[in-house]
Amino acid sequence: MNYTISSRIAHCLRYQMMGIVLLLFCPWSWTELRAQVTRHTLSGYVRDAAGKEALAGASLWVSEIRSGTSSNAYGFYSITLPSGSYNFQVSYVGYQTQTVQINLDRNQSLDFALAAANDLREIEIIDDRVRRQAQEIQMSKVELTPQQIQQIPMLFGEKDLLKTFQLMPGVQKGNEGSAGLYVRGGGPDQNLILLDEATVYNASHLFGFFSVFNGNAIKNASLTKGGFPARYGGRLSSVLDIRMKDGNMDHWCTEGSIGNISANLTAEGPILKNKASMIVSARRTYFDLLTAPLLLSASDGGGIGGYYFQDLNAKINYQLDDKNRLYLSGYLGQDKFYANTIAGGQGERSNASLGWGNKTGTLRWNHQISPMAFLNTSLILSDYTFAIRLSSDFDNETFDLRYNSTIKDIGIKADLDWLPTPQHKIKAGLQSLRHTFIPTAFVLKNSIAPEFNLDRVAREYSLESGFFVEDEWSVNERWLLQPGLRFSTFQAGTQTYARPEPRIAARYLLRSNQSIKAAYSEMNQYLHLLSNSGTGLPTDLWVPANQEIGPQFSRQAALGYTLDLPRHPWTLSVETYFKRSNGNIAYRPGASFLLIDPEVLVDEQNVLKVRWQDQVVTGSMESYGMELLIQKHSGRWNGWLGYTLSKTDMRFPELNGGLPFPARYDRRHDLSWVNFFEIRPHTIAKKGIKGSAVFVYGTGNAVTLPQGSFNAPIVGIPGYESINPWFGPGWNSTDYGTQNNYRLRSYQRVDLSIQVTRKTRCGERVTEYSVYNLLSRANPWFIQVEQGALSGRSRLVQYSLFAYMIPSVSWRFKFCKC
Amino acid sequence: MLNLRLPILQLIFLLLTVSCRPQILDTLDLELPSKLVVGCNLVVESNSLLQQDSLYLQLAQSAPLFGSSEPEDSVLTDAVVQLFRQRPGQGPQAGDTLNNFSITALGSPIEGNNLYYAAPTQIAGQSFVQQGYNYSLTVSSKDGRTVNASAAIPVSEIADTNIQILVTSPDEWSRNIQVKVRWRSMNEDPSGSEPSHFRINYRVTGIFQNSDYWNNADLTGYPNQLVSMNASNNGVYEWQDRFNFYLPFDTTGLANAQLEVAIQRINQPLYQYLQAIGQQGLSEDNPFGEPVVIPTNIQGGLGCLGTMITYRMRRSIPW
Repeated sequence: MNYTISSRIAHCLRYQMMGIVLLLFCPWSWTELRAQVTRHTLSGYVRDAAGKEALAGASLWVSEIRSGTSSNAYGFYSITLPSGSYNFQVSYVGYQTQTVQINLDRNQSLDFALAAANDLREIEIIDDRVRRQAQEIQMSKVELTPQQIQQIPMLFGEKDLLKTFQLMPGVQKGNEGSAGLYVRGGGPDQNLILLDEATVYNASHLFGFFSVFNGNAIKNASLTKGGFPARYGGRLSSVLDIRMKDGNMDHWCTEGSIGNISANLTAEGPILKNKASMIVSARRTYFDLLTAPLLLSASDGGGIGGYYFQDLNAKINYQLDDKNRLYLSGYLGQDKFYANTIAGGQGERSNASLGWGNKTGTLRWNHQISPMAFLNTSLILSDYTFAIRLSSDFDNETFDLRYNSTIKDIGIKADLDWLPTPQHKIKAGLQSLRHTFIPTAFVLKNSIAPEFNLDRVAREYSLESGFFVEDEWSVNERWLLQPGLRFSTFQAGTQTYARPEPRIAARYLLRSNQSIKAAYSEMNQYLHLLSNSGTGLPTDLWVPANQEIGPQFSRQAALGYTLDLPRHPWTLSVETYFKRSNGNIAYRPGASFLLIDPEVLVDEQNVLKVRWQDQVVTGSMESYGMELLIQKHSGRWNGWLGYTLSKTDMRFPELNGGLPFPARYDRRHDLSWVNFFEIRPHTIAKKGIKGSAVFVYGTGNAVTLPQGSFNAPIVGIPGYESINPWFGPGWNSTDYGTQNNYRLRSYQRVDLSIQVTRKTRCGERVTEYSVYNLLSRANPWFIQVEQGALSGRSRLVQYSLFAYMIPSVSWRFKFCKC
Repeated sequence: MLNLRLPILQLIFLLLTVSCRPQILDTLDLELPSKLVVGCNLVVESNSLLQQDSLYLQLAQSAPLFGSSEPEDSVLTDAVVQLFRQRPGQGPQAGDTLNNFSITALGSPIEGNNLYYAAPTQIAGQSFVQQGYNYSLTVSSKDGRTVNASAAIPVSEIADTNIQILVTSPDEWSRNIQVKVRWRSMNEDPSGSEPSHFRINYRVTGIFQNSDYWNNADLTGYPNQLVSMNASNNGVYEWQDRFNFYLPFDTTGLANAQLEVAIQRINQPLYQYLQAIGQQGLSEDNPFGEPVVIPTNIQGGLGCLGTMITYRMRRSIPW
């Protein structure tokens, strides 16, 4: 079919959603007019053969044109080629590659169902798939699969998504045991964590020891550290995009596990076969349940208490027709400390609880507009709440105190994928999120003195919006460019911020398996996290940028080299980066987040009340480094070695005399060596045995160590009548020297695990024996200056949290209807 | 508002630390030195009827947190102190150097943290401490440590001062006195490179002999007695406070009572130094508070070389 100029313009104007994009990019496709070639589109979905799960980022390679495409987040792919016969190779990590010969003489729809490669040796290594990493334009990105997460030994045997990402270069660990992510010099507040597109504000259980993500419910997760595509915004340092499983469309499966501290159970299956499916996954710690009878017995039935955390993930997906699909997913998570007492025979009782948790919900509509265009529209809800409750009922006198701190989001998002030619993959979209901040909600009801009852809620609202457009443009065989522009706005009260965020990435192929990549991105962050712990304490407070404390802004440039060894499953990647940000906040000297109250400065009695803006100072951060990643993708022994050499300095005019100082999480060296061994493959007849070994090393965190004490002379008031006319009594002060002047000892740890797998006809059972901190290294958690009991002299004491090896045993099962 | 976070987080912190394994670290290689601590204030009195210009200097040493040796206080008694002044754009003049100081121990000796004050043996007074001079201080201890500092006394003037005093009687034994002070600083630097800082103190004088204490001497008190240029409105400053005054048994002397207000223009290092001491005092009982670093303009040491121009006013109190 021949295209004329007028028909092309009519095509441009037909779709409102593509209006801006098409006006911008229509001229690029004018070059095709000169060729006057008949083109057809092959489109469809790439899915898992067993459960029909969509596979995001699957590669479709066309050997005849030495180019290809990849599936989007929902498994949709589209490629437009001149008429002819082509050899399509479809591949995805952990799956067997499919090769299909197709005669493309008309627009066709073809879905690919890839079979999982249970044995990594089964993965056929072909030139094209191994070269994939060098050929991709996206740099600074790490992807993990549930299988990889399940194999890595973890604390108490609890598989953790965030802690697995900490084993990647460029991602620093926080404190001992912490699940916080410190990416390229950024703090944990600068990571955008998305679960099915909804923001998760506090991704930690138990003060950061575990993350909120239940691995059994996760389909895939990717962490982007730099070279951010224009579709992402709102945070400076990273984007952690986590997708839940859609649910097995073909048959029901149940899997579960029980370990040292928690148990989880997942069920997924078709509601209507090949039409609708669901998945429900739940996890809970059980320590409090085990100790409850003991506590009741010890208190003669009068009291009970404990701690638990729990997660519930659920999702339903429904295929309306070939071009439309609906998803509804949600997450509920909670941590809770509780103590309840019952006294006397009249039911007198007291209850106390401290809890926090996330709730997210996403309703999505996928619509295939045409063979070349795909639209996703989402309605997103998110809620994070920290709550304290104290109540009692004695002698008919009641007391009920509730304190909440909350951030809620409701928003809408629309993303369009348009693939008009193999040379252009265009994405465009809009997003708008309404944030509701409730830093304090205080309710007090009591029958003793009802005149003191209170019901006070402080609310702030803001609207964060953005639109973006980007194009992955294959200029020629060697050059791939990805220009993009995001425009973000933020409105809070009378203050409005509107900022462009240009993005550009480039890839130059030196050879088919070697490339140089570069990227530049500007990011804005309109929310601040007030925390002086950095480890995800539940009292961390999210607040919006305002007239006094503006948004954070960063610029990052990265340059990298990727080599895929031909005919061998090895990839070498070296990246350097430089990042500078400003608008970072830190607590003012002497400030404490505990005193934050977003009320007016003084109340009616002239009592000082503190606003959060008065407790913080703003400054800048500069970080640069080099990351090395060597991966072996398959074979009986595989894994990766990651090394980071980096430096991160902060500069705040009101801290450290305005001089730069190292960030607390500035680690000069960070090394992770992860190994997986297949000792014996599993079959129906024989148990399979796999092992894994992890070694990590990191330079110690920087802390401020007191240097000494001194009597700080206080200049007295002129005319003060004493022996010292100018000086009152001195103030006993501490000399801290410079900020973050001391390095904790280096962090080193070795973990081992053995997994014994027994395959059954319809499933498998896995018993895992693991040891955390095999060498019983006393890694520093924090240090403290203490007085020696005998000498009375000061001494420096290091506290370690997990100073001994911690063994654990867990048992997993999976059973599918067969 | 009831603040529940602190006790809850203290409990959590306690629970976690109980389960930790402590290990004493070797600190011998930290080599933390003892530093000279110098506190020096150069004061110009704008109203010489009430006070005289003066210079006062205090010496001490810091006690290193770790290490085997204690600082020897004897190194301070023979310390060499030199104070120089110079007008900008002029060379040294006769009388611009003070280098004869007598050093005397202050109060009772305290191990490792003794205080000494140094006073010039020659008369300084108005002839040495004046507006429009840059001052440099050098202190050298007998063991070879030397610290330096420099500060300037700007040419400064305030005008349009206004003091309002409002007295209310909550009961028969006390009076609630509200003080509002307003003034204009005539020498603001529009570029902001040398911002103005002030300190406001007040007291009731003329009633109690030897007990004319300053009401807001505590640096941790509210409102903050330190005021910076950021709080001004085109060079006009306002400040207020209220306090309860308990009447003496014999109230006949009340008629002689006056409220004395001292507005002191201080240099930025002294402002930041006093502010940090106040912040440290406020946060010392809070384990979750951010550490407060006491800034210093004493190079190689601790403490502060401050300059101060004092404007005093006295007003009758409308009882």
